Amino acid sequence: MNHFALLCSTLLLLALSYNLVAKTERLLPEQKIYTATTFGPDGRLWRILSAQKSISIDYSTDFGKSFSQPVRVNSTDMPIHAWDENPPTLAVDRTGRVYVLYFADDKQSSTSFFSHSDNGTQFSAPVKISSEANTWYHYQTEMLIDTANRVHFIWHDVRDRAEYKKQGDGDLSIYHVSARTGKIINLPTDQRIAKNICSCCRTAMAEDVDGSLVILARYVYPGNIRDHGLLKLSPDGKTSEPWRVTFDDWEIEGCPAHGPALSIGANGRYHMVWFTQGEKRSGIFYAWSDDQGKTLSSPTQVGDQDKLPGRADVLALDKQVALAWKVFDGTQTRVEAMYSTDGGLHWSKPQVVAETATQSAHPALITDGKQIFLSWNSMDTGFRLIPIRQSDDDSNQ
Amino acid sequence: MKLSKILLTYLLLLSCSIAFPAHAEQVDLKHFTSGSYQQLLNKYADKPFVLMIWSINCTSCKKKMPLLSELRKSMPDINLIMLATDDASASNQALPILTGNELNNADNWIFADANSQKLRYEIDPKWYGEVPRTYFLDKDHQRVGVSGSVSRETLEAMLKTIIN
Repeated sequence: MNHFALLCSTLLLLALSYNLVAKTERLLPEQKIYTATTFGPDGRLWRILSAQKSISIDYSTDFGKSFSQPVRVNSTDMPIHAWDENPPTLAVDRTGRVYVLYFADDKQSSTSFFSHSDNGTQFSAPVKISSEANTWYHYQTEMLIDTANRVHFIWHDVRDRAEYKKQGDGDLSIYHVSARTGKIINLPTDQRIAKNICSCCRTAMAEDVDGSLVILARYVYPGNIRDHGLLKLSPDGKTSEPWRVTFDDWEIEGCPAHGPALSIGANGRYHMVWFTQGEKRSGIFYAWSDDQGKTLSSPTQVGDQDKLPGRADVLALDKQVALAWKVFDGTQTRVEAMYSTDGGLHWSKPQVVAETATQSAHPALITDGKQIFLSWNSMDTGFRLIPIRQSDDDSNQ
Repeated sequence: MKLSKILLTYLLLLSCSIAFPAHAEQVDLKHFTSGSYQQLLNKYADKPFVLMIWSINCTSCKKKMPLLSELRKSMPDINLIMLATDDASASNQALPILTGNELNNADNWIFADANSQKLRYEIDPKWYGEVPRTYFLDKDHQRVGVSGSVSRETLEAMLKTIIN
């Protein structure tokens, strides 16, 4: 009889735990699609592997053909929660230290967490980035390690909701925090650096040659115009007033969920790419600036308008510049890319570099300092690292 | 006696634990997959309808819900389809929003395919995914699609147009 009772209880526990597991796993969409990659100073390609409850990293010494045994970043299970416009970020500094930014449901949904490691073998306990992480929903956090060995975080934060209520919805603020890197990283209290930001579009960030941090964001201008503005954080911590750089006049009281990209070349040229459906322009556009974003070149349209071009990324490696974006024909998602060898003045014809019939992440461009690669993850093929280079056909253009 | 009590408790709890996920999935919130848009066109053949596409994180979408609810009461002939572009796993977050705005008895759907781009394309090959996105279809299913929040005046005018 005791045996029978024990059996019943065991079965009951099993049934309950099965349901608990099933319920928890159903809570969030599949996370493994959300990855991030970067090259270390020794040429190793580091990669984030997302799972439902954990973030791990591994590395490749053969440009993504094979990877090392993964190392877990968060030692305790967390409900990992990223999405297309809110992917994790990975950085490796000049000394080989590894920094990981990721999102997990905590007191607030999709809270930003940070862990770091001296060499990628063991990670610090997760730390919440926002000073008010427990009280206010915040997301779309970006991370950058600058040349002065400081780690920077910027994110979209709803904590100023009351202030925006009078102005209408859809607005939030960008907050920033930075700290010197090292064995122990202590984050000070965060600061607001920008207001009236479109809530659902990722913000882009790059370091200028003078060491300042340049931020490109979709703002909400009067009349619900959702065009882009630039903003600067100088090395002494001063924040500039933002200034508007795109004038497409996209009026929408809604969520475009489509953020811009920014890259700054070693020669100081800014390269920007953005999406709009404005009165004046519609589609993906590229422009460069030689005066630190004060004036932009005439915007060039990128991609075939009939194929829903979007999710563009840009990367400059001195005078080599690559653009990559997604197109869709109803069945196949393709990543197209084009290449410039003269700093964005002339471009190759767009070429299809990868495709999938399944769910895929946004395309990302990375570099090892020698060439530019597409880093892309899709459900069917998994992770792909594809060199983006000028083809022979285009060499005379 | 003791045994039967344990057994009864066990069976009761087991049935609850089996019933629970079924209850969470129950609904009102149908899974929108490949082919669902065509299914809607068939379901509302020769009938005008409004397809309002929204997301749980979209403030502008939620702001318009009370107005939709109000207009629906004053124009009961309007077929209103609400489609959330969040993953089906977010059903438990979408439902209270619909219920809170008295839209739980609309024809409610939620995206249920990880390849959401494909679902969007089946609805409209020109739509990039911005929300709210509202389609007004007359009885011949001639349609107009609008991105962003729609004002009361536009909504009322469009509703009258598709009914007549």
